[in-house]
Amino acid sequence: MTKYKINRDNTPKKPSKADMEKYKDFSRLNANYDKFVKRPKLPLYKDKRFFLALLIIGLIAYLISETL
Amino acid sequence: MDKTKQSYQQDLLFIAKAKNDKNQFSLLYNKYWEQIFYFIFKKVHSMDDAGDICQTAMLKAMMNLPKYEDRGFPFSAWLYRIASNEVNLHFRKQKKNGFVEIKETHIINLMGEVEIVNTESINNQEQLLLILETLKPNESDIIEMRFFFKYSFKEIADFYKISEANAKMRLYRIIDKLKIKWSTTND
Repeated sequence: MTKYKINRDNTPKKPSKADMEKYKDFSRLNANYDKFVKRPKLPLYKDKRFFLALLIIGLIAYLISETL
Repeated sequence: MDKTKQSYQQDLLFIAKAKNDKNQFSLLYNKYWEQIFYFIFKKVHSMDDAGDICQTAMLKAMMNLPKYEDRGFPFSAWLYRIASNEVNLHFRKQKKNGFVEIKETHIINLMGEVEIVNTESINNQEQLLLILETLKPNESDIIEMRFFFKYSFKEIADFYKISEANAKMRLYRIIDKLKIKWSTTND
């Protein structure tokens, strides 16, 4: 595929101000920012599922070391 | 104080405010939304994609603002670079290449710089575009900015964090390269 295409009509396809405004949403940006930046409410080590997974991994590692 | 300096000072104030309170980032968001949106739209040719990419670029700018340091270049140059990276990422994810739509008058201007005589010839225009595609991406980017997106030397210099004189020198070196490539293909 070629990188350049010549628009021979010379009609600029600039979106209108109103069209561009439709996509502007600072509250959504703010919400996304919070989602990315804020720490989870529960620390990872206090998460029951994470703790259980960690325990299983430890157990498997112990069993492997015992069998070798 | 001229408009550029005024805008630069205003940005410094907005940045300081946004660093203290993230909600104040809306000042920068509102000021640059249209500019960045249009910059992205020119590359992706889709309103929906431009909207999503612009929002992601703004999010990245907001997240990295605490690390932002003023080095004498406009804040917009920093935003343009983030947006440009996001556009490249978008095309990589989609596994397709973007294309640049250019006006006939723009390619004619470039042909004038490359000293091509018959600028009206469609064959010559297409041939020059093929030669342009053989340039390294950073070289064709400067040509695009100057001739197709009509950026000033100041804007190009700010984008690359170089001096205006350096931007001019880089551009004219690339034009010389185009002249050589043109003459070798037409001998």
